Amino acid sequence: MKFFRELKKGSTKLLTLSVLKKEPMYGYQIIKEIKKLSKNYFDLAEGTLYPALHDLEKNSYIKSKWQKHRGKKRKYYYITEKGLEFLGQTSKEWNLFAKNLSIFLAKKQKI
Amino acid sequence: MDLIQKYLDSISKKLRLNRKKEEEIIKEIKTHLEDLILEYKKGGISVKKAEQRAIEKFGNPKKIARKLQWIHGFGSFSDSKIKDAFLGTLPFLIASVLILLLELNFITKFSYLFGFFWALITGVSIYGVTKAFPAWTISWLGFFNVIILHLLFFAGAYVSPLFSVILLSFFLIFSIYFIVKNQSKFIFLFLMPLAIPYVFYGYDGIIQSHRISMEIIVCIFTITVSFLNLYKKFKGNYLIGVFGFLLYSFIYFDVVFFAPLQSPFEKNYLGLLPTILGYLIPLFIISLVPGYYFLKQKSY
Repeated sequence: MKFFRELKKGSTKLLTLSVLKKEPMYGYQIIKEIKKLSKNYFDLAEGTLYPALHDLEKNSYIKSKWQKHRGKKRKYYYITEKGLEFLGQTSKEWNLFAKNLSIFLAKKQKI
Repeated sequence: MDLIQKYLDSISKKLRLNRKKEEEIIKEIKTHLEDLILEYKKGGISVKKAEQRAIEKFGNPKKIARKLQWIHGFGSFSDSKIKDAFLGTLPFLIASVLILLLELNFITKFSYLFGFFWALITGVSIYGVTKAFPAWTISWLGFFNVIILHLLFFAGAYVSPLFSVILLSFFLIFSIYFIVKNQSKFIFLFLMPLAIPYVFYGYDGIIQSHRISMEIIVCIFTITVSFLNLYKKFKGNYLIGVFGFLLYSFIYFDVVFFAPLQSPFEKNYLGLLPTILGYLIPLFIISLVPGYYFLKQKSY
C-alpha cells in the first residue's frame, strides 16, 4: 500500500540514527541491523538508504570515515551530538504522534 | 562489461559533482553491491543471478543518482569557505572595477570589457548548470538570469502605473514570505536595498560631487554582503545576484548595462517612478521565481 510505503520511507532517517546510536556502521550493516531489530518488518532499499545517509551527513547529524574491515575499505557512519539531539526530539514526537493516533483510532472503532 | 560496472556507470553518468565526490559515492555503492552479491552467492545462486538480484535490490540507478545529485550538487559548498566566498563574490568585484574604470574615464561604455563581462557571466552560469550549481556559481546565475529577463521585460518600462502597483504588491507579498520563512538565511539580502537611496541621491544631483563615493559605498556593500553570505554558508546568493545586479544597474543604468533605456532615466526620474517600477518590479519578481525553486530544498 502506497501509504505505508511512504510512511516507511519517511522513517528511514529515524531508523538509521537509532541503529547508529548503538555503534558506527556501514551501509550494508545498517540495513541488516534494521531488518534484524524490526524482525524483517523494515527491509530498506539501498536506493532509499544512501540518499538518507548522505543527507544526514550533510546536515551534520552523522559523520563518516573510511575504515578497513576484514581487509576491505568501508565507509563507516558515526552519529554526532547534533544527531543524538535530533534523534531524541524526533523519537519523542513520533511516540506522541503514534500514541495519539492509536487512541483516536480506538475511539473511532467504538463509535 | 559486467552488470555491476554497467549499473555503476549509469549512476556515475547522472552525477555531475566534482570527481572526488563522485568517485567516493561510486566506491561506496560498489562495496555495498559486492556485499550483497557475496550474501546471495552464499545462498547458493550463480554469480550472474546474484549480481542481478543485488542490482534489483539497490533500485533504479537514475533515481538514486538524482537524489544524491540534489543532496550534494545544488548550493553545495567546497571544503574551502574562502574559495567559495571569493568565487561567488567575483561578479560583483568585476562589475565594481568596470564601473570604477568607466568613472575614471579609462574605458568607455562601448568597451569590449563589458562584452567580456557578460560572456564570463554566461560561461560561468553554463558551468554551474553542468556541475549542478555549486554555491559559488549561484550569484553568477543571478546575474545571468536577469540578463535574460531584462531582455524579455524590455517593453515593461512602458506599461501603465496600475500594472506597477499590482506587481509591487506581489513583490511585497513575496518579500514578506521570504523574510518570514527564511529569516536567518536572507537577513543579509534584505539589508541590500538600503544601499539604493545612496545611488538615488547620487543621481539627484544633491550630492552629485560625491557620486563616486556613493558608488563605491554600494559596490563595497554588495561585495561584503555576497562574501559574508557565502562565508557563513547561507544559500541566498542567487537572490544576492539578482539584487546585486539591480544595484549595479541603478549605478549605471543608463550607460553601462542597458544603453537603450538611457533616455527615460536621464529625465526627472521621480516623475518616471511608475515607469521605473513597471520595468524593474516585474523583472525582479520573475527573477525570484526560479530562485525560489532553486533555493527550496527538495526532500525525498
